[in-house]
Amino acid sequence: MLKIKCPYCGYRNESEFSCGGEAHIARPAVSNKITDSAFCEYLFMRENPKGVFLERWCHTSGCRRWFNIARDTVSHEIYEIYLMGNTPKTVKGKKAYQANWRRTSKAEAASKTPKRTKK
Amino acid sequence: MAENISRAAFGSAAFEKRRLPIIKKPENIEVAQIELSEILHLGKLNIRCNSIYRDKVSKLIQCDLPLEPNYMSNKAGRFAISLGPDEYLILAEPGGENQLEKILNSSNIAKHISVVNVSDAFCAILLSGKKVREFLSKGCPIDLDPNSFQENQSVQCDIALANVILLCLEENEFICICRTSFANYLLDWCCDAGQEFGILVTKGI
Repeated sequence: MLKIKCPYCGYRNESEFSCGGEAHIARPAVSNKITDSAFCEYLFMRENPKGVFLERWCHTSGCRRWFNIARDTVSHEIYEIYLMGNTPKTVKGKKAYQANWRRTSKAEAASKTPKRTKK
Repeated sequence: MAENISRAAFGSAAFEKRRLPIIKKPENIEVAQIELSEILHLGKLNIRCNSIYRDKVSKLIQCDLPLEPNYMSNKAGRFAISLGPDEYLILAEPGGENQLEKILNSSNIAKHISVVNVSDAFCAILLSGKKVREFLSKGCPIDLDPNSFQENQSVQCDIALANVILLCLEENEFICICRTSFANYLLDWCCDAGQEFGILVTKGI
């Protein structure tokens, strides 16, 4: 069993947590129109790497808060645990974040609302 | 009025269904080493507030909200338990929770905090006795050693698949707060797991 360090509660057993799948999937903003195929990609396609994977986890039996984990899918080693809304800081975490195909996808580009220009 | 009805219906259903007291012990033990009873009608309030408003809420409820998760503070019979970075559970004397709810909802920070009365959603069980730590360890993965789980510490964990909040009052005295719907199951588990130490289940106070 994995021992996961919840950012709020400390080390707990894996059985207290639930995994929420891939992290850093940004929803395209309504105002940005994208094609159906690009939306499909956002909705259904998930990374399945052999190596470092950035995941969302929830401490279901404890504080019920979500956070992110950079975990190796082969060795189960946890490289980094960081809060929601942040990006990984370790070298391996950063590399996995940058290497993800999603960074260059149309859906992610459309997730950022265009900056308002001053009138 | 509605409050009284709901409490009669759900509040202590798990305990009222059974004929109390229940004593379960092996023949070689004379006195039950674990005592269990429900704390009846304990007021419970769930408060969510940002750290900016923590001090103001503390003043209003006259009990300091703990700064760290997994800790609790108590003052004049009221407990404030930290459930997360911005979530707290307040335990108050019966009826006291309505008063607190009114105070908080009529204060000038009412817009910024959320107050929910969860008195009927949760059930509080008082556990005491010499072997209580050993007994709880049978179903709880948390380290309950007296050196690592001390007075004024609280923990949210699972006891035999039931999600509970465990509070340490004294070395051998705990309050266990569980969902009312799980109270029946937890009571069954306690009677079963406590049999080897001798367990006495009495009606609450």
